[in-house]
Amino acid sequence: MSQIKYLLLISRQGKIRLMKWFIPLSSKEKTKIINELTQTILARKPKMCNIVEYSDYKVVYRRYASLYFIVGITPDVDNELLTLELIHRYVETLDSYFGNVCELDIIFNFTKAYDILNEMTMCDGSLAESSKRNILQTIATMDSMDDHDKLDRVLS
Amino acid sequence: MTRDKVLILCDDRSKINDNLELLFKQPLSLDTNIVKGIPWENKYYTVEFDLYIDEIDTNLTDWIDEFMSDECELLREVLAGIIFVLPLGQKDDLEQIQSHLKSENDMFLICSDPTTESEYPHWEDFTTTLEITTFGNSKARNEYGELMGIPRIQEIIDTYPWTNSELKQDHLESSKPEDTVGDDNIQLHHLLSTLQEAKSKYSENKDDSMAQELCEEIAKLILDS
Repeated sequence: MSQIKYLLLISRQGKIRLMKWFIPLSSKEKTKIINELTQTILARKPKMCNIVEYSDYKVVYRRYASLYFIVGITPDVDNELLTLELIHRYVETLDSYFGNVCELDIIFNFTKAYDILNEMTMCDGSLAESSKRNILQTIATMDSMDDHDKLDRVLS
Repeated sequence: MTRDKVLILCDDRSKINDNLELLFKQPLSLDTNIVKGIPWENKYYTVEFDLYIDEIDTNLTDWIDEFMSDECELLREVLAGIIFVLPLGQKDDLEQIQSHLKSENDMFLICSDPTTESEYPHWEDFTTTLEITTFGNSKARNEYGELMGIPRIQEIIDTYPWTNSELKQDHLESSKPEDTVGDDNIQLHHLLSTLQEAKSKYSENKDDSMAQELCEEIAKLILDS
């Protein structure tokens, strides 16, 4: 089982590129988490552990190129190593969709990055789909429907 | 004020000019310190910015003091970023840059060392405020898979939130995955964007010759596919 609290995507320059909250939090609490985790995780050195104690739970993070994927996990429910796998699967899926994904792809296609994450996870933070192939197929169907919609709009 | 200028600070321009030309993809004369309207392009947008190139003739501390003075306030307000191209083997220079310029949140700060092809261990102490990299043009990546040298600097410039940039029409289509977009779909995307563009132009100016040209273009597209 997995029940993540949130997933944040932060650039090396401390800019938030994507955030998804799976628990109800006020905007003040969200800002606090973002600010504190940005400072803490960006300052960590390469050889340090990818699991950090934060507040009364743990945070698992992994850096890919210039992006930090940060996930808050529920104690006694989530497994830290499984969370690292979940991050990796998300990155692999992004990579397959965009073809060697980079920060710029996520900035300009953030809705697609959210769509992929929404396919992978349920609204309570549990894992809904682990198959990269299935996720990409669903996204391809969404793209196709979007194209048809665009065609209808242009021809109307 | 629009931030549309990039400042390069170096200690010896002649040694880095070739790589600067590679970075900005155009010839840069050694005696020119201001280059206006450098075109910058990636798959999503195009933008133009001015390039200011300055050589340190005293020491870094004096330069930073002068840059942070009231006289340079206007300059600080229009800079999108500063690229320091200096030997960064010593920690002191980086500490100075970090301590004096960390309040400049709206600009990117890159420190690039032209004298080395690999990262120094002390660079990792400055990851929160500065982007530190080499100044080579290799395709090498570091242990995180991050680009290094000039390709990394290009990436940082790409991700800067330029307010004067122009989005490319087909930027969304260009990023779609290869296995879900075949040649036919690319043609369809092109056809759609052409139709969309023509529709908005025609509503502003009902020009029949333009409609005729569009018909011919569409016919050619269909025949070619």
